[in-house]
Amino acid sequence: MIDQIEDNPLQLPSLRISGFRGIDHLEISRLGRVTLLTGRNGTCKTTVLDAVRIFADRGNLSSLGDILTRNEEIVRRRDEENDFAESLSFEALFHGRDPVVGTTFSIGPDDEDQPRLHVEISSVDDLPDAILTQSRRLDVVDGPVLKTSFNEFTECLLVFDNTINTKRPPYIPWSRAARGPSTGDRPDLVNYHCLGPGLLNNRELDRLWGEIALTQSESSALDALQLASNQGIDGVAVVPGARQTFGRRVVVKLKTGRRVPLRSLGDGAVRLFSMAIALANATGGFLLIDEAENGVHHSLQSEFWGFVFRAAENHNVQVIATTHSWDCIVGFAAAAQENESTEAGLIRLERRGDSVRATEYFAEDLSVSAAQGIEVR
Amino acid sequence: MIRPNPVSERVLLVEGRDDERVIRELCEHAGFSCDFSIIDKNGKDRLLRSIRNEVEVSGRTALGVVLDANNDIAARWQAVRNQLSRADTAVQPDLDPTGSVIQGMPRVGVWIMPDNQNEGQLEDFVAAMIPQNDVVWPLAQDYIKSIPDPHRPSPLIKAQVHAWLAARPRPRHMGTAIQAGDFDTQASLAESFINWMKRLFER
Repeated sequence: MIDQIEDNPLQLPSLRISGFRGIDHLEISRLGRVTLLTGRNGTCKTTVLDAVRIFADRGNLSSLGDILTRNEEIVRRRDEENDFAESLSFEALFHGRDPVVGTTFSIGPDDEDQPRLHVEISSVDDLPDAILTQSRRLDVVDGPVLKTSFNEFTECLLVFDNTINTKRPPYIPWSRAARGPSTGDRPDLVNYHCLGPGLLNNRELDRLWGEIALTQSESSALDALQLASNQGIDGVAVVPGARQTFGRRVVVKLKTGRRVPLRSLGDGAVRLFSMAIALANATGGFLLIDEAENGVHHSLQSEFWGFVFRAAENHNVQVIATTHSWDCIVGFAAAAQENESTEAGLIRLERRGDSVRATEYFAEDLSVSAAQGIEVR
Repeated sequence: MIRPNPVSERVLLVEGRDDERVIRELCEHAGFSCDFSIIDKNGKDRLLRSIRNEVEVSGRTALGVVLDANNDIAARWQAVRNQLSRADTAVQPDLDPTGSVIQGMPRVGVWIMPDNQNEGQLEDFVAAMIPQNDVVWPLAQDYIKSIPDPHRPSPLIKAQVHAWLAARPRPRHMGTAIQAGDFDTQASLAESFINWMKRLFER
């Protein structure tokens, strides 16, 4: 077991977030291979998932933009030609919503020796010379920019204060339009996949399945699907969809020989299948699950988590999930007891003024709470 | 599946049903009206294991722990301190004979039966409420003591208290006997316990 841990260290054995969205400051001294986040509404559980995603992506503009888009953090204003222009409110990424030049958020392990991601609102004049001398694009910027740094790498993102062309509705291709000059070696991005509270759409299912079809991971996805279905499953394929469906659709071959749409097996089947293929696709990185209990019947929770634990180990994925559900917690605790070699913990987030406080439940603390019905949410 | 206990701001953890009944009736009889819930942990080990998590329950403002000393009060106190330190609750090394109360969030109280000083259990605490000069009590004690090995009950005090209760004009359990006024709830140990409850639970 020790060998395994040394071979596959966690990307984030701990977590510290400062100045990001609703979080002024949060320290979690320990994260597991699989971590379940609980806490009341407004305790920033989803914000933690967003932060991990941004960390994995090393502050890449695409993940910043996706998060703002999902939260509808969009400003609409008239440009010089009196046309409506839409742009993302990048200031919404910062704590307090009223950021000034110099305001920073940072995300990384709670360990001074490990690199952290810093994103700062910077004036052009404050950028490193190595950046200033390389790009004439900065000459036209009259507002602040975002400066992202990780280790020796610094990149400038020209996204602030509507200084980029936003005339093409509905959204401009942010990542290309706004990536600015950089200095230092671009860091390797860490693989990640997100499962939101809702179900994946057909296009996402198609893409994720395509990556693992006819590989060893295929059978584990079928096993997961089997969990949620009372009928034997023989295989999965992606076939052309009807005109009104969104992209191609996933069909399942039942042991009876019938071919039926995946979605006809119910939300639970779609959810478990999505989980399995997302895990297999997140090798070496993160799987971030918002509202993990969705679509999974309470009687299946421990089997569901057992599957997640084993797949997380097999694919070297670090899983962070949120839940409000007691059934989910009990299933998680049971799976943690059965899979002792997998480091698993529950973290409750709680607001303390501006800060968010984390309470950690690992090993016996987790099983005692589940067995005795001690509230951990 | 065990459902989570409803979250209560003020909670007292006890080892068993008898503790729960005795404490509930004693508080009622003594006119202690503060609102708190009692959780029966069904055993000393389960109680000790739960302490850290019970302290950490979100929104909890006061948590009391009532535990039997049995035959090793120092070990019991140390076990409680170890669990509390895991919940970042620093506890002084010495047990307060009037019941320990540690200020903080939540406030934490510890009472080790019978009196935070001697070995023993709930029944020693209850025996201390048997009215002074009661004529039956020495007889009940002697009767249990006279039972030869291997039939002699252990601990003696448990059987002695129940023998005394059985010899009342209307035999009752400990809790209902307190309610019926069989015990002297003004006895100094009972008063000391009620004062500890007040320090712990009153806002």
